[in-house]
Amino acid sequence: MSLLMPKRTKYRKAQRGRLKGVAQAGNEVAFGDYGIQALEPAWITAEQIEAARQAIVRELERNSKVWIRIFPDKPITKKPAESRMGKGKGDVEDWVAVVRPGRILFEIAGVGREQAERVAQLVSYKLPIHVRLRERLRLGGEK
Amino acid sequence: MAYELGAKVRRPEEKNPRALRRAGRVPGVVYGPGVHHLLTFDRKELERLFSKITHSSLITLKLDTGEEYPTFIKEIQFDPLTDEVLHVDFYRPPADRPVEMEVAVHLVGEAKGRKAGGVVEQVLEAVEVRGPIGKIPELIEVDISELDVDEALHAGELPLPEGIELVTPSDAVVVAVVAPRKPEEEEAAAEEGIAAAAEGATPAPEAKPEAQTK
Repeated sequence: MSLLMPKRTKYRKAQRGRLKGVAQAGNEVAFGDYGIQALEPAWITAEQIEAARQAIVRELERNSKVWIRIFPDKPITKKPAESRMGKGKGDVEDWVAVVRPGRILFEIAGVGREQAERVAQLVSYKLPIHVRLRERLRLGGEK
Repeated sequence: MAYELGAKVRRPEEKNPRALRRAGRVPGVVYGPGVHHLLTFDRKELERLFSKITHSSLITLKLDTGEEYPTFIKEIQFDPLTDEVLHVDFYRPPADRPVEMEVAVHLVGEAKGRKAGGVVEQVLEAVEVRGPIGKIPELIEVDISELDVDEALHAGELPLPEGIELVTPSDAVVVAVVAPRKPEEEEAAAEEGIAAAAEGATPAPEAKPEAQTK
């Protein structure tokens, strides 16, 4: 299984930060016909992204296309079990993408509405948050 | 097609946009050479209009002060979570000069290449054109049924009405049919991904000294 993570980083460890507000960027379907949108804030791990990606690819036919719109660029550290406090910050255990409500997580093209809904359902099984299927915003005359 | 939309000029006491939205109105603005009004629109009327028009439709704005302006939509702001219309910008172009507008491209028919297993990729959703206000098309429809795998349709090949010129470079790809990835390629890509992840797991040499100083 190939997991997403940065090739190199400026700093090895990062502070946790806050998950307030809604997604100010990446909140519109920009590439495909449908997008899978987060409805809650969460840290989505590289494993969860990969599991969701595999679920999408298995469901879709070959003549369709998938975009992953999030990237796990935040290192998450963890102290070893049963270790005493102190002695510095723990080691990097995981990489996560910081996701706020409204963020488009995946986009798909070349599929019908019914299949896209099925894909969104499968993705929701793999993620720790509620998601919804969102169509690209088009005015009535452009559909 | 001619479209009309009623609008009220925003009064000084209607300062709070959220209060306006609660009351079923949508704040907006119209601007252009010599024109600038803050407006409000009826939400239902606006949504009805949006269900019919395109981004390049000419809309006559009828203000409650009696003024009328031929306008184009410049920007629509939607709530990212509810898809509710938050704000609309209308642009009143100068009557005596040609305007530049983005016109949506609509694909018609199923590409020959898709039936053969290819992926239809619409690279450009809209192309920019220049022309007199009255001649700007609402939509450019293009038949892609003859498009085979590894073939593309360029902006220069789009059917444009007379008097309208293309601003988007004519060699820009609008829609392409690309071959699907073969299963072997997918496996190779997955293996590459594992190798890249393994490389990334060991900190890059240039990053290490800096991190140690922290």
